Formats: sequence, structure tokens, C-alpha cells
Amino acid sequence: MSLYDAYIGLLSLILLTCLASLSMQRLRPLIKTVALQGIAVTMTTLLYQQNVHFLLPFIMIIVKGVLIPMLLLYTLKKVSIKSEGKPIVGFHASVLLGILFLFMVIHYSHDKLSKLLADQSFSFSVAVVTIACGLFLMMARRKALTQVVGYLIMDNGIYLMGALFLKNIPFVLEFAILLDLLVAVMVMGIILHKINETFNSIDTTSLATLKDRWHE
Amino acid sequence: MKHLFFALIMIAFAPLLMSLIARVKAIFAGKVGLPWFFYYHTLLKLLQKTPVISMHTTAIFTTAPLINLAVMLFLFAFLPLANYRPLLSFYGDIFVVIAFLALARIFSLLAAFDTASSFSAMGAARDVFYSMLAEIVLFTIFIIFFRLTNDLSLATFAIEGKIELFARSTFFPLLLVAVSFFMLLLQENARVPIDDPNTHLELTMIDEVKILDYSGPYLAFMQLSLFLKLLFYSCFLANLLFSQSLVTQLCTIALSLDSNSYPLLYAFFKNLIFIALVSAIYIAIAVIESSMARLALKKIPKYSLSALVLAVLAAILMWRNV
Repeated sequence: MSLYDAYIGLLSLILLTCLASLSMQRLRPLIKTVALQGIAVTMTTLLYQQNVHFLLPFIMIIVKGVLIPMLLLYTLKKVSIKSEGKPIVGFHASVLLGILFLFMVIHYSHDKLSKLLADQSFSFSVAVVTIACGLFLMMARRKALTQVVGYLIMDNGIYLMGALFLKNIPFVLEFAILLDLLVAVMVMGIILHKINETFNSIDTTSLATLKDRWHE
Repeated sequence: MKHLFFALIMIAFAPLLMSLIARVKAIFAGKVGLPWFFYYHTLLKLLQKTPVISMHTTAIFTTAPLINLAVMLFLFAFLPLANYRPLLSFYGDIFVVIAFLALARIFSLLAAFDTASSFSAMGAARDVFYSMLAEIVLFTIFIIFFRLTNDLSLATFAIEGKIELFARSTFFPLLLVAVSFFMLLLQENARVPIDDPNTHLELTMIDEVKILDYSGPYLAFMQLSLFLKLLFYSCFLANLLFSQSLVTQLCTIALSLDSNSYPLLYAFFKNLIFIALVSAIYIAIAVIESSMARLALKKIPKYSLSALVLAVLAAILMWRNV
């Protein structure tokens, strides 16, 4: 098995985790899937980029694969919910849409962008699908925790895209993004906790009711 | 001729392989398990009994088991075994295979409705719905093989399609197709994540409930055709995983056996490896059966969808460079 095979395998693993995250109802496996995806995304850079700073992958694996999922799992325990109830777009429909979008992207990157991308059209498609999958999760799910997970998946996609187009990932920039991400997840954890305290659920549709519940 | 001989051996092994599943499950449960030839005895005993046939049934009820058995036996003529070209193989035989599988299914469904038992009809309705979902996966896999080989025959799919699949890309697409087909196999043959063959509650049955009203020789035919159906799917999957060149290498290196100088011994060894592969698939079924519970009925569409995703991913991985 050559290095290129391992690279393709990692990309297909990322695709699988994307489609799996679209179909998952329970939140605990969803968070674990995203952790796996974060690790896989980091490993692709290890294989793909030649002169990447040696600290970056380690810190990325720790932040994306351990720290953020642990924070999310902690929040999950605090808000004591187990699953995404009734999403706006159903789980099966989401997966079918994901497959459809995957085909469209692959087709487009083969036909229209093949000159621009050369041999990287597949990695490009994977990155686009990952971003779209994250966006879709943020739009089509009601629970705030799933939306945070969607945000993380989108970040993975953006990172993949960046790694694709930049020969050298700027070290400082990537750390800044990682730190932002960590802080964002922490803040979202606190906000989730507050939402849960106020409405007794983390359903974001209840945020749209603008009545002041405290004084009723 | 070789194929016919080997196919007959495999068909004779079908009940034995079923008891292999039962014995592996028994090991997991900490029991001794059935005797190895249990299913042969059962079939023989059933054949000697006088059948009890409901007076409300028509001729469909009694012909369905015969048609099922005949179809399953006939389908082995199209199935390549251990890279032997099958007896019947022509452009488009894949549709014959699918049509005959459908014929067997239609007759067993009609027979289930013919008994006028509400349980059988419920099982038939479920079977239609879930096999419809499984068919999407089957056709996706066949489309992949068709694009690879430009041929429409089961033998080419299993023998050349697999080699093409391996040559175009690495082993990931082949692995994905194999896993997807294995999931399909479990679904089509009513094995555990979909349906529990050992269940005793009619309300939860899918496949078993259709044959509740059969007895005597008819039940024997029905059971034997179920055994053969599982064997048919397992053999196709084993063909996908079976590699002629690997076997040749193994023979020349490990046993210093030249395929030209000892053709008979080589063929024996090759067939043995194929049978071991089929047994491994049966053992995998048994391990899955003893390690997980069956899915809730409403989760079965998601199961089919996962199999479809794996097949689609294999297709995408294959044509990313084309």
C-alpha cells in the first residue's frame, strides 16, 4: 500500500463520516464521528503537505480529536438530552441529498474544473462536500448541539480546502483558527447550558418565541 | 463440466453450512450445539411426513415450494464457482438471474397470501417493502460491474469485474463493494440485523412467517430453497474475494506445487480455498448473529441506505480518475 492509497483511503473515510453524520440521530455517536473526522483531516495534511511544522498535526489532533469532543460530550451530559428529535429535513432524505450533492460535485469538478485542479479534483470534491455537509447540518437540524457539530464539520472542510490550495499552511494562522474554534465551542457550550436552563431544551426553534418567559 | 461437479458439491454442502452457523452461534452461547448433520436429518424427516394442506388454499400453495427449489437449483447454473466458468453464461444473463429470483419471490408471496392467514400476508407485505429497498443496492453494485466490464453476465461480473475493480484502483472500492454486498446478503436472506431466523413471535418475523403454513415435504423444499439462496449469495461474495493469482502464488510458494505439473492437486487445493472462503462468510454471519440484536423494523430503511452509501462511495472512488 503506497502513500497515495492511504491518502485516498483517508479521503473516503472523511466522505463516509460526512454521510454518516447526516444520518445520525443520537448525539453521542455524532460527536464521536466528528472527532474521527477531525483526526482523519489532520492525517491527510500529514500525508499531503511536505514541509508542515511538526507541532501542527499533534496540536490539531489533540484539539479536534480530543479536546473539542470532550467539551461537547460534557455539554451533552449537562443538558441531558440524547438525540435529535424531529429534524427539519429527515435523516434518510439528508443522506440521499448528500449522495446527490456528492455526485454533482464530482461531476462538476471532473468536467469544468479539471484543468484548474489537475489531479486533485477528488480532494477538492471531498472538501466541498464536507463544507456543504456542515452547512446542511446547521440548517436542517433543530438541536443547538447538532448545529455546533455542523460548524465543526464545516471547519474541517475549510481546513481541507486550504490544505489543498496552499502549498505551505501558515503555522500561526492555523493555530489562531484552532484557538478560535476551541473558544467558540466553549462559548457555545455555555450558551447551550443557558438555553437549556431557560427553555428546558436546546431546541433552537424555541429561541424564536420572543416572549419574556420569566415574568409570565 | 468442472463447474457442474463443483456446483453439485456446493449444493450438497448447503445444509452442512447451515449447521456451521448454528454451531458457531452455540460456541458464543456456551453450548455444545447441533450435530453437524442435523439439517440433513430434518430435511429427510420432513420429506417422509404427510403434508397437511389447508382446504382454503389453491394450487399456488403447493407449487410455490417446487418453483422456489427449482429456481434456486437452476440459478446455480449461472453462478461462477472458484473462477470456473458457469454452465450457462451469455450477454444479459444477469437479467435472467434477477428475473428468476423475482419469480421465486413472487410465488412465495402469492403462496403466503393464498393461505389467507393474516400473519403470512403481513410477512409478505414486509418482505416486498424491504426487498424493494435491497434491490436498489443490488442494482447499484451491478451497475458498477457493468461499467467496469461492459458485459452483462454474472460470471464476468464476478471473475473479470473484480480484477478490473482491483486494477483500476486499490482495494478500497473492492472492500466497499464486498461489505455492501454482505449487508445485502444479510437482508435478502433474513439474517440477524434484519430478521431473526430463530424468532418465535410471528409479529416480528419477516421471512419465516411466509412459510408458517407449510408442513412435510413442502416445508422441506421451502427450507432447502432458503439454504440454497443463502449459498447463492455467499458464493457470489466469495467469488468477489477469491483471487486466482493469489491462490497460484500460494500454491507455488507455500507448497511448491506447480499448477501445470499437478493440475488435479492444484484444482483440489483451489476448490478447498474457495470452500473455506464460503465457510468464512457463513462464520461471519454467525458471529454477527450472536453479537448483535436485530434492528427495529423502522430502522431497516436506514440499513439499506448505509449499504447503498457504501456502494455509491465505491463507484465514486473508482471513477475519480476517469
